[in-house]
Amino acid sequence: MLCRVNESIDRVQEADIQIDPLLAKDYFPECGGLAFFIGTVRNLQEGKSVKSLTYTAYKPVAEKMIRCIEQEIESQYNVPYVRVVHRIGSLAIGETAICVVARAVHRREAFEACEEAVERVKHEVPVWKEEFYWDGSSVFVEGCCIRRDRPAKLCGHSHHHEPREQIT
Amino acid sequence: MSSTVRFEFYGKLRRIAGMDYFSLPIKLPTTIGAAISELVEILPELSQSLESCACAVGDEIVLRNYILDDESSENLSVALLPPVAGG
Repeated sequence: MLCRVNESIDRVQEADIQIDPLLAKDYFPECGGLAFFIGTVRNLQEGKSVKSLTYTAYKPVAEKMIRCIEQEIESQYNVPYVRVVHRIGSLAIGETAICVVARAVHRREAFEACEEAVERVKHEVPVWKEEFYWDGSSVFVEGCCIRRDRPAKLCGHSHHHEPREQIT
Repeated sequence: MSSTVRFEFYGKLRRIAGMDYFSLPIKLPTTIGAAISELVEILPELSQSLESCACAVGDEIVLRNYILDDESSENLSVALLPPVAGG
């Protein structure tokens, strides 16, 4: 059954993420576990001083995909509520980029569902991160290829810590 | 039939191409893969990056063999999605 709590919240938004309503603390009296993750902008990346980040997204797919991921994880871990909201636009150091919440009867499923949601959104949803440094340079963080019919020669999976293409 | 396919660039593609989108004159029907091949002839600087790009039409990710035709205007806009790095 589709969870209707906070169903109408935009999953990809330019506005600051309102975390408290996303926790849905007034709902799910059967749940003893609430796990949440907040990803914030940090000031250092591979030794370079970060000034700000800019997130962009292809919203038609990103919105739909995040909702699908939430429902799949709710089903996979048998939990009643998983919600993910990702911020786009220019973010300063310390600002919240992503918030993930999971409610479950017990803490184990809450932790696991929350972590799974973070990982899947980071690796599957069409969102891109451009880092701006104090030295004036910027890079697009090279991420995970989501092309489903990619040639066999391409690596199947890449992570953010792999070498990136720098544009100055 | 002659028409135009609008390729929308995302992530690093915008920086490489120097634009947010490109309208490609093309004969329909055709596949996205064939249209991308024509796009690369005009914008060869995108060639390497496009290898790892997914394609989307509307709210669906589609394969390179997706048919572009004149039956729906939505078919004529394709988003090119480089490797993702959210969170």
